[in-house]
Order: sequence, then C-alpha cells, then structure tokens
Amino acid sequence: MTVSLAILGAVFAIAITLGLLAQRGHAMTLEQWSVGGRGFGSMFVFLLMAGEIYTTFTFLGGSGWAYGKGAPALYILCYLTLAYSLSYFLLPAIWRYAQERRLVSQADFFIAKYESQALGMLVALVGVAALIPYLVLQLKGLGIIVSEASYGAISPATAMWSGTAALVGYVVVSGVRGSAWTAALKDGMILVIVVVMGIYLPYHYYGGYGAMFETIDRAKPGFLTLPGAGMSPAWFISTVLLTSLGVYVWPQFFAGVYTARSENVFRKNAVMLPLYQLVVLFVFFVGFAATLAVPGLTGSDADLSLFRIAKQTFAPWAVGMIGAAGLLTALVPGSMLLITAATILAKNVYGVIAPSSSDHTIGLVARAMVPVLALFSLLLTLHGGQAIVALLLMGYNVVTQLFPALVLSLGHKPRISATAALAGILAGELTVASITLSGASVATLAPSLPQVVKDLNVGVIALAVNVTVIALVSLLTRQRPATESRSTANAAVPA
Amino acid sequence: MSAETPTPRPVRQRGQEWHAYHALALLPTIGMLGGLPFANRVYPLVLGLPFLIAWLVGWVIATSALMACILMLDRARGLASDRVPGELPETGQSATGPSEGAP
Repeated sequence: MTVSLAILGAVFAIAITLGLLAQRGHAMTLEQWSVGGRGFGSMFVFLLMAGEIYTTFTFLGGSGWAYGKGAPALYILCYLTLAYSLSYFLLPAIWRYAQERRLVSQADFFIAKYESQALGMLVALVGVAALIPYLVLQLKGLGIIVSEASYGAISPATAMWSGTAALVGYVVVSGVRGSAWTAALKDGMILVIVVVMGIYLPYHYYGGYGAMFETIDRAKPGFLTLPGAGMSPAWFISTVLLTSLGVYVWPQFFAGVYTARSENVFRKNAVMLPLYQLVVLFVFFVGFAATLAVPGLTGSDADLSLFRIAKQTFAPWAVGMIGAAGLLTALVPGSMLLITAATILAKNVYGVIAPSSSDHTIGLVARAMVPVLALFSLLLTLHGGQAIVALLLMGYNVVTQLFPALVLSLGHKPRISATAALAGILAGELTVASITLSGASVATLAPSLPQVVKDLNVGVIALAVNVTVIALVSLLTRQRPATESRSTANAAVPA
Repeated sequence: MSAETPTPRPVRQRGQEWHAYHALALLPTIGMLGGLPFANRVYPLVLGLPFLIAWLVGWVIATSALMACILMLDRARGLASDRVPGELPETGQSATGPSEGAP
C-alpha cells in the first residue's frame, strides 16, 4: 500500500517536473503558449492527437462499458478510426488556413472564414461550454483513480485538489509544451500497462482469449453482440458517425492541429493512429475479463472494474503503476482543455470586449484564466451533483453542432453566410439542450416509428435541425454575391 | 531514384486536389458500419475473438493500410510534400499570379 503511494507520488512529481521544464528556451508568447509556436513535428502532434484516445474516459469508461454493457463499448474503437480517415483530408485544410493567418483558437477560424465577430463569440462560448464538463470529467476520473490506487489512503477530494494545483502550475508556466512532454510520459506508461493487463488477465482468469469469450458467452448470452433493440446496430452506426464528426470540432483538437510544423504531419498520423489506437482493445479485454472475475459492480461503479480486478490480481506496486498511468490520463488531456478554454476566453471574449489590448496582454489574461477555470471546474466536480452528468452527456452533441458550419467553410469561400451558420448552430444547440434536459430519446419523441429509427442517437435530430435551419436561412437571404471571389489560383483546376 | 515526372505539372498551390483513389478513404466507413448487421455474431471466433470484435479490428487495420495507400499515391503525385512554410518562399494568399514550376 505504501509502495503504491510512493509510485503514485513519484510519477506525479516526474510529470510536474517535465511539465515545468518544457518551456525552457522558449519565450512564452500567446502563440508559443497556446499552439507551441506552430513548431511541433510528427511525434509531438501524434502524441497530442493520440492524447484524445487515452483520457480517463477510455481508461475507466472503456473498461467500464465493456464490463457493464459488453459489445456496445466497441463504438469507441470505431469512431476514432473513422475520425482518422477523415482527418487525412480535413486537418491539412484547417492547418493551412490557420497557419497563413496565425490563428490560435477555434473561434479564430470561424471569425476569419465567415468574417463575423458575432459567430466567433458564439463558437467561443459553445466551445467553453463543452470544454468545462469535459474537464470536470477528467478531474472526477483523477479522484477515482488516485483514491482507488492508493487503497483509499488519499481521498478523491484531496487527489482532485492536488491534481488541479499541479495542472495549473505547469499549464501556466509551459502551456501546450507542458502537455506535449507529459503526453510522451503518459503514452509510454499507458501503452505498456494496458497491453500487459489486456494480455495477462484473460490468460490468468480464463486460460486465453477464446476460452474467456466462450465462458462469457455461456454465462451472459448476447453480451458479446449488439442487442436487437436499444444499443442496436442502428444505435451503434449513428453514434459512431456522430462522434467521429464530433472529434475534430472539439476546440482542443483545433489547438492540437495548429501546433503542427507542416500539413503532412496529419497525413502520416492518419496512417499510424488507427493502428495505435488498437491498444484500446486491450482496455476492453480488461473490462471483459472483469465481468466474471469481479462481478457485481453496477451503474457508474462499473467504471471501477479496471481497478477492482487489478487490486484482486496484482501486487500493490503494480496497482501503483496502473494508478500513476491513470493519473496521467487525467492530467494530459486536462492540461489541453485548460489551455484551450483559457485561450478562447482571453482571445475571443476578453479580446473582443477590450479590442485595444495587445497580444502581450491577451497572453497574460489567458494565463490568468487558467486558475480561475480550474477552480471553477473543481468546485463543479465537488459540488455539482446530478447536473454535471447531464452536461457531460451534452458535451459531444454540443460541439458536433459546429460541424456543418466548419465543413461548409472549408472551400475557397464559405458556402453559407455567417447568418446562416449562426442560426444553424443556435438552433442545433437549443435542440440539444431541450432534448438533454427533458431526457428525451428518439423512442420517446416518436414511439410509433420502427425500432431502427428509434434506436438512432438523439444527436442526429439536433444535427438535422441545424442543417435544415442553415438551408432555410440560406434560401431566405439568398442574394447575388456582388463582390465575388478574389480569384486565387485554384488548385482544383490544374492549369 | 526519383525520375523526372514525364509531364511538367504546375506546382500545386493550395487546396485539396481530388483523385479517384481518394474514394478509398470511404471504404472503412462503408465496410465497418455497413457490414455490421451481418457481422453482429459471436461465432466463429477469430484468433480467439468474437466475430464482431474481429470484424471491427480487421477494419481498423484495413483503415491504416488504405490510408497508407492514399498517402503513397499522393506522394507519387507530389500532393503530400513535407513543405515547411517559411523555408520555401511562398507566394502569399492572394492572387500573385500562378507560380508555375519551370516547365
């Protein structure tokens, strides 16, 4: 027990040190702080992008879903894969545009494309509204992980307070460079730990993969396939499509994209990342192994399955290592979320309210926002109760509403007006909010529809409303564009 | 040895240039999700994995392979260069005349 505490403490200290050292040799302007001076090569960008895979959500939630729900958990593997195939085309376009204009936030991108501050403000607020629940999720996970791995010696609240303090420290000092350095440590640890657990546990408890799955199938028939209703193939497909579109409209992902040194980084990553994220599979194996080995965890306790089976199987030093890796899965994504939210608030909210502020001032404001945001999220985590769960569920659907306006802006000129984009996003968000708060699903909204339609992810409706409003507004406000195309040599037409 | 390209091509400016082989990138979505109703079974186990899991894993690996093919084809056409802005003098974003490669 003391061994596991010591390991947790040591890794925590190493992570902080790395995070603090990361800024050496770089003057921390806003561009350095938020997007690493756009100087990251394949490796760092790869780590930042891959950082999305191993958040506490995948570590605890991935194993928890496999444990509690079975086959539907596999959607995580699929949406990331499809998101990467999309990234090959999407990210170079975003990067190129941002690089030419030295953009630092996602809202900057919309402002530049649509030439609308109002739209930028909306995107900024939507972004922050989605980021905070995500940060809360990381802090919650951090609390669970540390208290489990310390055998209860450290309470979740203590863990969250110290974790947040460390996070604020290195984020303020090093910005995104701190994230990149700690990401390297995190991925190294998690890779080894997850693979070892995912191979060892099935053999230890069942004698092999085949034997494990046969046993599970006998004990829980239907657990290893998608059910006919509820989390059916229709649910699976719609969820995978929605979330794979949603990946790249997360504001912290935009920031990750901006850090790259060249656009080719994304093409290489699109080849490597699908394979790399296969490691998630081993997280599922841990969850599957736990279903029969440590039965009885229900509801949100399913998220504890990974630690329960680890504690039942391994010595305290190994549990300490697992906990330390888990700790990093909270810190690294957490730092990206903080940097992104702070940058948005400073650049796209403060900067708009006080337009005369210099880049230097905005940089300072951004860093000053970090402890404020961190504290706010921490208090939400500690006292938020049920409301957070609703917010968390909303997060993905909230950001996904930015997707139509993003894609329609990617051409040479946006295909829709700023007004249409604004109206579409607003309508989509209102739909998301009303659906989430009323707890509706397609089944409750339209009980007479066939089961396939009823099982669709409810986010589909909000996206449909969004696109419909965009189309309507575009039709109603259509006018002959008088000032047409500054004709840049268009690459689509070979000269 | 990289031979000279037989036909002189204009140096690509910016924006995505589309080719038929880019449609390969749609295969993972179509295959992985489209085949789901048929792949939604436990047996036969493949390498010890339930058929559904094996099906999805197979598509993940195929996605990497397909994206690698696209990258290679793009490279062969000079569409995926490691151009680092600032190292090459870039013509700005406005129309400063097509900066053609020497024909």
